[in-house]
Amino acid sequence: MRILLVMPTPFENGRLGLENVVWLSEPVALTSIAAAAGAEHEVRVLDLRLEPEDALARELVSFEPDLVGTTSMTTDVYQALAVLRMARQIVPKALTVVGGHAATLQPGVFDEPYVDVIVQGEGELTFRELCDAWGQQREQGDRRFPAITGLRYRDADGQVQKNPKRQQTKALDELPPPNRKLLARYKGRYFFTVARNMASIFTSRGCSFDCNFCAIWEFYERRTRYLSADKIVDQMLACDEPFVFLLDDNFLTSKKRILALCDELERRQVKKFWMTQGRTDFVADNPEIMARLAKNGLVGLLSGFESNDDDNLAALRKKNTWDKNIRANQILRELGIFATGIFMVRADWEKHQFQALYDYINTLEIGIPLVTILTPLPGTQLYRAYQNQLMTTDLRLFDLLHAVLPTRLPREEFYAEFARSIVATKESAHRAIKNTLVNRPDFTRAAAKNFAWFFARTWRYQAIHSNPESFLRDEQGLLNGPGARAGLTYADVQYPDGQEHAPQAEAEPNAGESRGQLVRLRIPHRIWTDELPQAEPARESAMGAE
Amino acid sequence: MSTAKAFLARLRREIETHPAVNHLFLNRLATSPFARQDYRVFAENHYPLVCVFTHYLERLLVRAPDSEAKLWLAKVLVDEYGEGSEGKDHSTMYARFLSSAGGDPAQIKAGRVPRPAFEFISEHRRIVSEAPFLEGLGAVGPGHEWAIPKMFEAVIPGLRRAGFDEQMMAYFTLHVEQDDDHGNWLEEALERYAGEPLAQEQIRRGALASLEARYRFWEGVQREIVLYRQPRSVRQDGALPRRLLHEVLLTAWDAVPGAHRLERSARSLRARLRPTLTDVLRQTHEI
Repeated sequence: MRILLVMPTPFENGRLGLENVVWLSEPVALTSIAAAAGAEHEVRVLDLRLEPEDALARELVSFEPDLVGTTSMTTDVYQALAVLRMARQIVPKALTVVGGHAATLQPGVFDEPYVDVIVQGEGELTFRELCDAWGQQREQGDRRFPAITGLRYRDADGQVQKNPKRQQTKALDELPPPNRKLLARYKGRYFFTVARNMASIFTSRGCSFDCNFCAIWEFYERRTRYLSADKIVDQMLACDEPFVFLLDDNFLTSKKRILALCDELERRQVKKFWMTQGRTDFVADNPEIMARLAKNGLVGLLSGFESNDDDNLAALRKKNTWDKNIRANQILRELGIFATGIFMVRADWEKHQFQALYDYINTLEIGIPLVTILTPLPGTQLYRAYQNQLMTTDLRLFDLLHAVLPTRLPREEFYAEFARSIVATKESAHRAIKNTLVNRPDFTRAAAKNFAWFFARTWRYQAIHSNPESFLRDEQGLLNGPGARAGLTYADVQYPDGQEHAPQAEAEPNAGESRGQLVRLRIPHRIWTDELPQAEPARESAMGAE
Repeated sequence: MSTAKAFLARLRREIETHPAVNHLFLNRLATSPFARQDYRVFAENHYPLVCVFTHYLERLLVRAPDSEAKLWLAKVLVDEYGEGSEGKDHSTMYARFLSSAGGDPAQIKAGRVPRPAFEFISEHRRIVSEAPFLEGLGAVGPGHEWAIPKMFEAVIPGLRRAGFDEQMMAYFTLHVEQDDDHGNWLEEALERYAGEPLAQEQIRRGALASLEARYRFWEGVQREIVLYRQPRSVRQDGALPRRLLHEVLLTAWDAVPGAHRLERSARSLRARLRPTLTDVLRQTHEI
């Protein structure tokens, strides 16, 4: 059977977005399910982020796939739908399949006649079974898959059938490693900042924290599972690239496994520069482990610093503090680990709050301070709390660069404050870059040839980002559309303050009063939105109202 | 199946699967909530094509070698003219859509033809005037009639989502229905000519040339919409990575004070080299 897996573009070519400028990672979701599909199938991966616009049509005509699959994050939903719509037009006999984050957490948006199957949750085993079943059924054109858990499909009458959820694979070691050979034609094109010619792998899945703005833990049902140290090193050594990005949702969790990984890296003398994502409280609490990781090639860490305010961190259920952010930054600086920090501004902020955040960032040494807008992403607790207070349901605007909730400042002023984030925090960036150059000469030498390339691109991006018009024009005509509530103001939105799960706040009236009105955010025992009876109607009205 | 029928079936399949007919931009229109502002840009670029289309047919009618071809062209032309009933000729219908999207048809007629439209029109004028008759027939026949219903099927759901009512978007819905008729008449007419390999080659060449021009047109329209949203777009590199020198020169240019003003002036100068839509219509008549 011929299988075509397509990585959609995040937006129309040329639109504002960090992807393609700061970071472009391999489509590991696709290479993972490609590996799981089995060697008996001919699989191709098409990364539309690196292809001309006609590539998909030409590939569909020349390859004539029996199955076309794609994946989607929130902002890519329309692009993923466009991929499957085109597949249905050109190869109507092919089975069309979508999986990934958005398909799992908001499957309703994919309920379209040209989408045959929605894979929910971890996809490898489901996809494997789906390929086997379709291999047997495709001659008859039978697109029903009642026996495969973890998917939704349309029956002969076009009705959506929801199969039971699939249990997650317990041991990641049992899954085949991603088939990176399928990306041979894109070799050298993936990067993170100056680390170009970069491979991407994952060493764990999930996160055990429950931040209310994040859906990772909901996707993975609040469990973290790990790849064993020897498997990680096998995969790292299999990469030709000098740089590797470990795509873990939160790499810095189990000390035991990190130490085992360091042992293995040392035993097998791995000489790679690698970057990953992890929490600052782990860094602050474990400087000796961080030093060992730096010695074994860790050169960059992407962390959610989120806020300059402990109350705000608590409101986000981050379970971290400002002090730990500062301490972590100091440790990273001393070790020469290049820090990329994500910060969030809120739609209800006033000018002085923006300035306070930028001042705070400048006291740190963050190489790339990514200032984003707190966004209730579908699938998160925040989304469930605010789905009726959204100014837009256009998922392209849920990119953390647009305010989908009403702003307190006039939008022109809000974006003027937001737009100056790069310029206002360049002091932090300059110091961090200088520090890494001096303290990590080996990495500096390895990445030197990419410096001019990266700075050229980010300079141009900065010119766009620094212009508030970029954001205003982007959202023109897209606010107050279908599914949005008209006439909202910032006063209609009550932000959480982190006390939602603290019964004592109710028991102590004074504490409650000082924090204003509380928003009840429920942590569900069962997670995905369509498994929550009370969440379903709200989702349909807000997101499915096109 | 006769040779001609088999050829036409193959050609129809080739057209229906062509990247121009299935352009990602069209599929995006079907799946993404574009706003009226985006559709205004779309319509301003598309309107000139609609205004000029009948002139290709008129030109071919003059060049048609026999009455069979003349008859088919005349039938399609009558439909395109709206059978004389006021307000129903296609450019008037499109003008209604353009106005409802916030554009001004009179201004578009008086203004310079946007680049994507100008390139499309120029290529088609060349085909219907200079290429062999059957190439012209391939371009305006299969290249349009078999392509348009499928392309507009993608446009219509987006228009509905953006709040255009049935009257405003009548141009598009009509073409999904009407061009199916045109396509069937065309197939009958083409069967007469498509028996010989040379004729087949000419018909196919014309159809594909039209579709290649259409592909570039959709690319251009999408680019115009992105530029409307972001006048200083990211300049992504897409299929081929830029060389370092190119990247650096591009950035150096962007850093020059007033560079973008200069680019705008250059664009506007280039636009002045293009004719107005009124000029294009007059020239086409003269041809």
